[in-house]
Amino acid sequence: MSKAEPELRPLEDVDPLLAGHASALRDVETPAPDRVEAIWTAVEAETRHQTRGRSRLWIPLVLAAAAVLLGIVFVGPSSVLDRGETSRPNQTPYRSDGPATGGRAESKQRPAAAKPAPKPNTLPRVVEPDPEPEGELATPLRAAVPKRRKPDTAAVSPGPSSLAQETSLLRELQRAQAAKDHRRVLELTDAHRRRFAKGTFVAERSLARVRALCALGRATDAREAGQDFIRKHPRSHLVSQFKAACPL
Amino acid sequence: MAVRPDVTQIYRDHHAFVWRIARRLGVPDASVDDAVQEVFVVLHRRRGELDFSGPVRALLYGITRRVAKRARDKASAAAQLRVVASSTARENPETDAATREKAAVLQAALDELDEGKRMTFVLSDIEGMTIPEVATAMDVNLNTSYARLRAARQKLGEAVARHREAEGGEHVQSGT
Repeated sequence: MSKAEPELRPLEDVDPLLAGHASALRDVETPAPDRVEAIWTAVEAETRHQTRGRSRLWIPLVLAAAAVLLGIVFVGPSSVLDRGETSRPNQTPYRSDGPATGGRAESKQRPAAAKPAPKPNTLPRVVEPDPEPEGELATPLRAAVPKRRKPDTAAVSPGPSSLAQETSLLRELQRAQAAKDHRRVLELTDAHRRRFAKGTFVAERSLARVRALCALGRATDAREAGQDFIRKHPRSHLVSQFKAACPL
Repeated sequence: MAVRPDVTQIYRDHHAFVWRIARRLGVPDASVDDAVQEVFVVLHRRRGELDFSGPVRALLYGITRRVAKRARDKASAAAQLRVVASSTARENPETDAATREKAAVLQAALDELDEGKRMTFVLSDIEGMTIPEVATAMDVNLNTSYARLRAARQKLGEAVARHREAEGGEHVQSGT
């Protein structure tokens, strides 16, 4: 839809002063690690709660499926019944209503259907609108119960414990930074890299390392580490901090 | 419709983005954590129906915008669009006074922009999203995004320069 896309130059090239302010705003606005962890814990708790809620929604479905299953169980008998082998014709008052009573009658029937053979004409009609084979119906029935505990939380659950550990390590790292204990910072960044190679605070860890290297006079290493990070994460919000971390 | 997103990973990668965007969208300080939480709860709850084929940050922006609107509606009008310097400083103790001041200056200038320009600048020049991503996130066409960004840069640039002059010209560069 657009003609030649207008060229967009990086802000640093267009207005370095403004770029400096943008970078400052980014620096200032970084959520504290303990808040990151607290939020995630709350998300997990909430989604677990919702999962339970959702699994409760299964109950009517399960009941309905159970009823339909029971109906299917009786499809065989019903076809037998169709052949005239009705064994308990007195089961329901509308048994003989024929097709007209169809689905509605069936749903009223469910409790009774468990023990005796239901009426001949109604059952096939019930099964008709549910083309799923027994196997499929059985799955939610079985799955529904265990799913209450496990299903969706599993997708989110790797979070809190490892995040808590990572957060605590990061706090230690920040304390070492504040104390200007650069060697300790390097030890802790190494520890973080070993334990949380793809953790939540990879960028923060790398930046801390670059700053520590620089402070220890290892400017070349610092710049290399910084370049390496920028190469791998060119769009990280910390790029400008990496660039400024060890100026020439 | 196909891939089931890993909400944990999305949180790991983008929590800070959502956190900052919530602030930029005027969620009062006291409610930012709740807003971020809500964004990821919504993402989790609706992950089966959301379209993850595009940029995740554009999707997150859309959710955050709605959540932010609700949060703003709850908060008093006076609390809107304010980022108090002292509270932001608390977020990152490593930042020095000069950095915080620059941030406050830009924040004040951003507050003067309409939401379209402000968020275009924020997403592009602060968060590093490409203009096509910004256009997707904000549901506008590319040229509108480019135009907004240019206008925002110009206004913000003027405001920042004005402040610098008022402060007495040559400001000490803080190593950034």
